[in-house]
Amino acid sequence: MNVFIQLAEFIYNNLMTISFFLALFVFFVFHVKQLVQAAMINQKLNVKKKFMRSLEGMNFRKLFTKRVAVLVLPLLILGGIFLFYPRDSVTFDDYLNKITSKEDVVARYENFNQRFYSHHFQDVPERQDDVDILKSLRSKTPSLHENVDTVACHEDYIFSIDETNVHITYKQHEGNLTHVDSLSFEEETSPIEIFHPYGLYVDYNKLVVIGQVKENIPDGSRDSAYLEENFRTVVKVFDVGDGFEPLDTYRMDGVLTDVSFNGTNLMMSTTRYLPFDYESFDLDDYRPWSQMNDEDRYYNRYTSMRYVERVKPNSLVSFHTLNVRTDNHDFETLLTDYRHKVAMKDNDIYSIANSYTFYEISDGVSLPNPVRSTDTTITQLNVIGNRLYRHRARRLEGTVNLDVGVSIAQRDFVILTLSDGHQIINKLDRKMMQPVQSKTVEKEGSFRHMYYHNGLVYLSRFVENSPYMNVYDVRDDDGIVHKTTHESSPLTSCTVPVGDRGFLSFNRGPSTLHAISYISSEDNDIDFVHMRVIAPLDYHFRLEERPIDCRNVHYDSENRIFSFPIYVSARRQYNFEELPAVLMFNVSEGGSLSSPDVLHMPLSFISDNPFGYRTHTDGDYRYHITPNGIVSTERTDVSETIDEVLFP
Amino acid sequence: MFKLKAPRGIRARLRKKLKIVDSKRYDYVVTTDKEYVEEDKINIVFREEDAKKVNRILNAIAKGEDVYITGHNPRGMKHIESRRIHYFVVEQEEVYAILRDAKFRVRHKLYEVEEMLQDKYFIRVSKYALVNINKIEYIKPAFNSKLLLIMKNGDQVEVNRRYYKTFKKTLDL
Repeated sequence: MNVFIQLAEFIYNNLMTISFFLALFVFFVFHVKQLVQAAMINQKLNVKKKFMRSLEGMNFRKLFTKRVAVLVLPLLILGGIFLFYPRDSVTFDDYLNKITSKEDVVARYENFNQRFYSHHFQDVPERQDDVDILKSLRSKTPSLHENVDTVACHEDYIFSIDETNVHITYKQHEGNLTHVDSLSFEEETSPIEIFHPYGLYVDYNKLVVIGQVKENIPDGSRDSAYLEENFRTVVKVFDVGDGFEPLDTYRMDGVLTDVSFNGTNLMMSTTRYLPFDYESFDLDDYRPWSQMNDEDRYYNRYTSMRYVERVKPNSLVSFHTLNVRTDNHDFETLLTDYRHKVAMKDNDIYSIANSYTFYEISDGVSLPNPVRSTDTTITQLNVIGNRLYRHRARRLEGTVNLDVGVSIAQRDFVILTLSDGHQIINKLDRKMMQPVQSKTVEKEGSFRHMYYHNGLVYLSRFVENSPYMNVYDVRDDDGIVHKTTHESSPLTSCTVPVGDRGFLSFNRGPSTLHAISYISSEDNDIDFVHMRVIAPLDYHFRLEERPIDCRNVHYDSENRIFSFPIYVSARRQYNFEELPAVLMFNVSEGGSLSSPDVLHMPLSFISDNPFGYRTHTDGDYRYHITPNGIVSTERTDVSETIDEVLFP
Repeated sequence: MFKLKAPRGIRARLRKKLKIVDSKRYDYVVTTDKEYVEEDKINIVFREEDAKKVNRILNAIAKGEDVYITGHNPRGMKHIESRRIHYFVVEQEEVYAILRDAKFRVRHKLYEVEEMLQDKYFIRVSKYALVNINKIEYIKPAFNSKLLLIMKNGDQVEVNRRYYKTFKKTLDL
């Protein structure tokens, strides 16, 4: 109550000042909104004009000086207030070192390796063979982040990819489907170039397909062939409004590892591993480049690259941003470890890698392990407009588990590191401006999964074969707080958020598949856990060794419906026959799970292609998309198939 | 005026290079393949690598094919190339063609002018105005979902709410 009285007194005493700032704020917001809207409209006008035959110059004034001045004035006032506002100062260390020349890259590599591999004792990792590294790097499927997937949906069409094709299906009225065309890339298949599409999206009536080609594939299966062939990342753009005509092709050097689309720009990460010890190695051949259509390649200069300090300098990793509407492309290159994790969200790109500090020793002195400590370095890049900027790098104590130790949310992200037998939860704001909040957790048992959602970090581990789950609250700026411990763990490698306060995970039992929902109360004191065996009584599951691919699991938050693909084996006389099917079940607000409905898919939909199942809802209809075809049903009722289409 | 005919793989690229917007009523067929030649039209057959030269030729043709509007002012009568006109406006039931620094009365109805210039990048923005897209300097969003067009000569033309949707669709806004 006291607080309210104080607040009321403050407002009463500072009415003029508050009114002034409020008016200033409203004025500023209004002008920013107007200006952003105007900039967007005029950018589109500019694009339109480019396609028009103008017989005069196209001098285009983007913004009026007067309008900019109107915006800048309140900005200056607000900036001044921000600048002089008292707050704790935060210091940043810049761990990005400028590269001066080609020789500098080689010197950094040799200097690092001389120290890292100075002694082959027990604790020092063996040097990995270049060929093995290239094999593992090239066999990895690129990670598809926001808005890029193996299926893209347009107002009228559904686009889906298989190994070498993009299938185009027209959505007719009342859930009917027609296969319109297949964009085949097989024609490009030749001894020197094979295009494999990995992801796609639709941007403003343009279909964008992202894939890879191999170039210079040498004859024979000898290992050194891996060192000679080149991987290129290729982006192909098609015109949806003009019969899927090919518009532009962009090429970038390197293996595609990560791709994301933020609504305006395509963001990609490509890796070029540097086999320094290969006898024909010349660094100039590995300098990253990009190319649009048949134009000349644009090579990145060595002086524009940066070395992520103390990280293994064995790869040139390039981050690209590409706007297919305006043909604007930009890229930045880091000399870093090929074993790094890339996280992409909105306009931000994070590259996370382990970094090493060595003991300072004199020449001729040997130590069993030259590595004094291993830390985690995070490098952030931002997309602003159509340009890519290196933002900053931060270093955290301990090593990071690159597969499961990073989770990114709307305003912040959590990194779990391991240092001296302790686990550390680190929370950073998305701009990496604020000091890192961290909490050391005793490492007891073996760590399994981390899940971060709505300000709560869930950590699961096994202690003497029993699962435990600890929940930590990271919402408070004062520090990370341990909330509760559960003597069971609903977390698995496939955990999907349900609402603000819950999640649902899938887990394979010895002979069943079950779903577990976890709903926490607002104060997190009481939690509801529901488990249901997702298995119809007269079916058996084909239980596979590998974990469930979470990309195949879909949650329709509007109808609170989960759908995912399975293979069921139906008894036919004395034999079991395997049939593809889709299971759908409902999650109530309290977390209880309904018994599942089964949609039997056509037998021909069985596939070994990379993606298994996606779903798309449009009005009252649900489209179940597989690499071999699409089945349409009612949105909430899968008892009857409306239509099905099989790709050629 | 022009119709681009080319194999599917290069059509979109050429359209971008040559800045050809296909029109239903066309006199010129621009193609890279003799098979697309139409006997009752004027045909321009070229190799893709000559696209830049062809673009210059098309510019010259477009310039030569420009529609001339007859305008009157107190000094007399003048034939004006449509590309020089910023916009047409109706004032006191008379149609005026507005140029960079001149104003001419046109003895046609606005809908007649619109019909004459339908392939020339002119767009109707209100009952009283017809605007040359190439002469729009800046589009300023105004209140009530309206747009204000600031022309290269500094004049301001408002996009009426009735024509707002058509205007946005034409410009892909």
